[in-house]
Amino acid sequence: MDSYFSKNFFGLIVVVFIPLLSFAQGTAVLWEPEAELDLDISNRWSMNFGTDYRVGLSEQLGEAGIQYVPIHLSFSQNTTYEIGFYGKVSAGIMYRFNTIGPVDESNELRTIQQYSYGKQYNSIRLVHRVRSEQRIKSTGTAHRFRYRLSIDLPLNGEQLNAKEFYFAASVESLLTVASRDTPEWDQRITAGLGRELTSKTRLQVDVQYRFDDYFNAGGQRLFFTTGIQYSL
Amino acid sequence: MKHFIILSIMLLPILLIAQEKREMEERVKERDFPATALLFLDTDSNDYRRLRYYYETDGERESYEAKFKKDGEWFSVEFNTEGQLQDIEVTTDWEDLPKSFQQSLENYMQSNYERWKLEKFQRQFLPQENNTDLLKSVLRNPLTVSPFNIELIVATKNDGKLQKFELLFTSEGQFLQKRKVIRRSYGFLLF
Repeated sequence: MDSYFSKNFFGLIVVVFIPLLSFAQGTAVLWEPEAELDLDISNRWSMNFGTDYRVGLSEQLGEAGIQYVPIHLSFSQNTTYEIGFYGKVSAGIMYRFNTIGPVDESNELRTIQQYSYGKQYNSIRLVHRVRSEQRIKSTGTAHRFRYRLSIDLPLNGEQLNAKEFYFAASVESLLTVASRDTPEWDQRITAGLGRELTSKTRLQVDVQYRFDDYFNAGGQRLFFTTGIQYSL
Repeated sequence: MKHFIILSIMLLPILLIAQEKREMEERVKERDFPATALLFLDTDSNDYRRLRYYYETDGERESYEAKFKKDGEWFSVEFNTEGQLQDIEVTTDWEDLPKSFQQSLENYMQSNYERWKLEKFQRQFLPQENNTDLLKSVLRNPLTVSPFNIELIVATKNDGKLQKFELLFTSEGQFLQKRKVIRRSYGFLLF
């Protein structure tokens, strides 16, 4: 049988990813491979362990090919408790090794608190996430407040079955306040393509465009994230 | 160009795995839908909005389903591989369901679950002697057609465990069957 999806798949990749590449001219480009492990502890409790490695991609004059500059390596752990039918509260901790990169920046300890609300409307699911973070470095602490709206939907039919693709996208606003700095407002837009390999494993590739420090014309960064997630 | 090459390398693993065979439900083109079913639906003269065709299998049983919107409600018409009608389902509101059903459902939920949230209701019409007339009547006004069953999706909680079910009742509220609905995890949207 001629699958409706297969013929449109490469078209979808072009539609989702290529327009974002057009932004890349003059924009910092970064790649972040990541891995996550989800553990269902009991009916309501679950835990998430994650690690990611961020590298900057650049082309140096006189050098052949693309240079990979390490930026940081992070490890995180989050604990989640289900409340009501659609809500989840989570608390987490992350440690980020910034000293592996060429920039003189101290390591960071981050504490995270968040509430999320996810509900499905036919094949589309909407997830709201409100999060606060404390970014603790030897140079001081910054407080960050974030709101993210995500959607995801299966690309083949109305249910997501094993070995099928899904599309995910989100918009997020971030406000960072610290006593020694002026407040900073960032905006992130993400589009991703994922694949449910088995009922426990999924792969996802995201392209994220970040507008940093909106008030002060901070700059723009383009992220490529390749992630694998395993659920136990 | 180099960015495109990097993107292609990043996407390569995901694309390679894409070649594998699958699955449970997939959208198909009109030409892959049983011809008898298309004739029955009479897609040329009926005013179907957002008409989509699907093929479904559970490994043993195969079926085809046409889904569309009409007069603000979602319809799904299911056929077997020969194009014979299996059922017609139409979304409906709680207020439009018979009072006897509402009371029976309330009793059923109270005796089986601690907490619940009713998410979706559908009227289900099974094949009759004249299915063409049945389809016409359902399309005209599903609230006036009988007999029918009621299919619903409900999120339940027992001992803190959240589960989703698809329940089927007669219009009088007699329980017929229960099927567990697999919840789509959204852990990847959380962190």
